[in-house]
Amino acid sequence: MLAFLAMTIVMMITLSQRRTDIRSHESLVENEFEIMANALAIEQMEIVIGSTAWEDLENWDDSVSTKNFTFTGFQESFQIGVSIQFVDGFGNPSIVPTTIKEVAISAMNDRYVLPLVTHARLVSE
Amino acid sequence: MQFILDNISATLIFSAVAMAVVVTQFNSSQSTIESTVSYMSKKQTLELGATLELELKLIGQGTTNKIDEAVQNADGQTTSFIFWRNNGIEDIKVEYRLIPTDSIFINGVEVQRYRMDRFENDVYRGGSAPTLRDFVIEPLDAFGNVVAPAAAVLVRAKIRDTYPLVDPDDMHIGHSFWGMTVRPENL
Repeated sequence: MLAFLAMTIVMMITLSQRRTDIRSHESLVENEFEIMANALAIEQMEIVIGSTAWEDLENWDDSVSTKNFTFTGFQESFQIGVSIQFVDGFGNPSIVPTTIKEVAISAMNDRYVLPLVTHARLVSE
Repeated sequence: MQFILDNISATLIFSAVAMAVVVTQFNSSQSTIESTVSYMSKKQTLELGATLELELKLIGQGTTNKIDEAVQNADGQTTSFIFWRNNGIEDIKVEYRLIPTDSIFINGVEVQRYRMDRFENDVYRGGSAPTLRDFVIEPLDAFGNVVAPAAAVLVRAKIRDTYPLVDPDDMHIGHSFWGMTVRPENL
């Protein structure tokens, strides 16, 4: 009976330790994905703001594109979503047009349900 | 021997428990080592990235010279990236030069590693750790296309570092990544 108890306790400790190791490993992996997603979201932000006149920013609204973080022999794909909305002087969303637009860009990866990163920037007319 | 045979059940159970404890401890140690080494790698990658981000934004500041060259090798690594900035006194030619260091095996594939040496007016001024696997700096136009340095509006930098101190092949990940796209005011 004592032997069975000892075995049970050891197995529980082993499983608990294994779960902790797996969580730690998953956290490391997610951190790397966030870094890559961040790089692509910022790149898209620079492209949207730098290549588009203020009055045409709405053309990007609700657009989704796939961008790859690549090195030779390595590629990871992310879905980059763009949303545009008017905001007031305090940064709050506005239903009526204002002179400030908020450009929000999210980067998602198939492994994760929620966006890994979201960047928002305000652009004045 | 007689004692062991007399207590064979207890011996077997003790062996099983002891083995489970040893294996758990070994896995735990490996996990701790990986966490520590990945933190070291990430820290040195982010520090290099932050330095690059700050300096790339200064391309062409205070001078009419911009980017001289962005040379890539067959593996897509940027082996030489030369640009100009001004330190308030004089124009400085900055070069990031990629130097091969050693090679290691990751998942059975031999991987060349590099270090990035930084030069100011051809004088060595620091650089990266010798564990870089990838180092890419690309001039981009406003739409994100790679272009010749003279036509650059954006600059994209990407790094992949291998873990220092340990064999990355023993680790689950073995790499840390960093990337950034900047818009230097003077391009």
